[in-house]
Amino acid sequence: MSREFINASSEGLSGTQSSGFQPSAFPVCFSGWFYFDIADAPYTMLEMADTGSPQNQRMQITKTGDDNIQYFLKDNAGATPSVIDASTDIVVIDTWYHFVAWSDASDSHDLRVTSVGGTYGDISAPTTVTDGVNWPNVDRTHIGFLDTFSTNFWDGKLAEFGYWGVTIPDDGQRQSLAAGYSPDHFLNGMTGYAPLMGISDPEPDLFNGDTYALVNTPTKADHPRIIRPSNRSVFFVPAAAVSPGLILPRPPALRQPLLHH
Amino acid sequence: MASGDTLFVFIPKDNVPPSTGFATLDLITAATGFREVLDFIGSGGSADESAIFESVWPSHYDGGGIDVVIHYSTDNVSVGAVQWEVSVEVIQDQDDQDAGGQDFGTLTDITDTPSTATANILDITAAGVVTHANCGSPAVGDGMRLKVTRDHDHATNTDDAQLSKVVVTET
Repeated sequence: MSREFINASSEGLSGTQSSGFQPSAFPVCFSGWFYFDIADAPYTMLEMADTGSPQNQRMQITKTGDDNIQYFLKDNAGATPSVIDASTDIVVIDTWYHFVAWSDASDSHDLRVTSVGGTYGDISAPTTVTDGVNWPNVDRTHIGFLDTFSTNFWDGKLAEFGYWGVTIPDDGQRQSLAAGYSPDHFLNGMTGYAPLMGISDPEPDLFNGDTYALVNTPTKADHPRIIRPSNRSVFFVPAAAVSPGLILPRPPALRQPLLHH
Repeated sequence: MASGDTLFVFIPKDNVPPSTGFATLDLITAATGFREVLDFIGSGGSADESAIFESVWPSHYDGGGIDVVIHYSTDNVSVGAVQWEVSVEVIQDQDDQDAGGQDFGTLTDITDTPSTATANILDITAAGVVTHANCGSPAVGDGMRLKVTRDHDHATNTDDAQLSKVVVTET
């Protein structure tokens, strides 16, 4: 499942985050799928904010007017968000892409954008920012728009957003996400998982129980290729037949009356 | 032990979708919560959609063909026939598993007509019989994949078909 957002209708999702979700320090990691319908316009996929901080905005993943993807964090002075990393590939309309953005405990930040069936996206070296960026408590998350300015509403689909308080540790795991493995394969350090099922208001976060209120009416839509955790290979072995003349004694525990008061 | 024994039961989350033309996981709202289904586009779509399930031929498999039964519903009121196509791939020791080694056998059609003009009513198809040869002549312990495709433009059922289970027994 995914949610489809219409920019002209100012559609988004807005969540007040529980204490179980709030990241208070690096590392952090975010991933999700995006698909957009209008080129050459700046739209926001994900914003996290702190209601007690100047301008509120702490983190943002967005598409620029040049159809590039950028990962922002706000600096300590509360100034305009700093671009931490940007994809080196221009993304195009009507195509599913996957992003993973993360910041580790040593102020190294990275963003990878991968197209379906393509190579593993932006493989530029992580950007290292030694100061000027922090991660104060986040208590609000906005999907599909920039609440700080109530603008930049997404136009297209978003799906399978996962949040972690650790970095997804290696390229293999990040590439697995981009290949379609659902975030709930990667439970270590997970702080939130919003598959964006599109069928209820509010939209649930299945990991921490938080919810996202609908801003106007984003609708349910088809999702990209996703592989879910399952209990595959459960076998059904027929019971051995019992000889018709054989009477099996009941074990003592079953010789008691079956009804209790 | 053989005929009639249950070999596999697949549910929507077991799907390892193909890279293109895949059915998508969906939820039906029910009084007791949600029911998971795999959604296959109908004749309003532009291409067939598929799901792939994988397992191992179990120890009680007796070397016969299989009967495949599909539990499904539709998401609207059309009562046009829904056609499913199933095929099986065997994966044996030293098989090449790359793209060139994927060789699903002959398609078996399972055609069923929704019982009522109501959305989300469960229908259970008659068995589609896949012979042992069309399963790739598997033996106990071999790997298998079962592909289920909906022929989206068979008849004129524009509704999406919602697969909830695939039950495989030995013929």
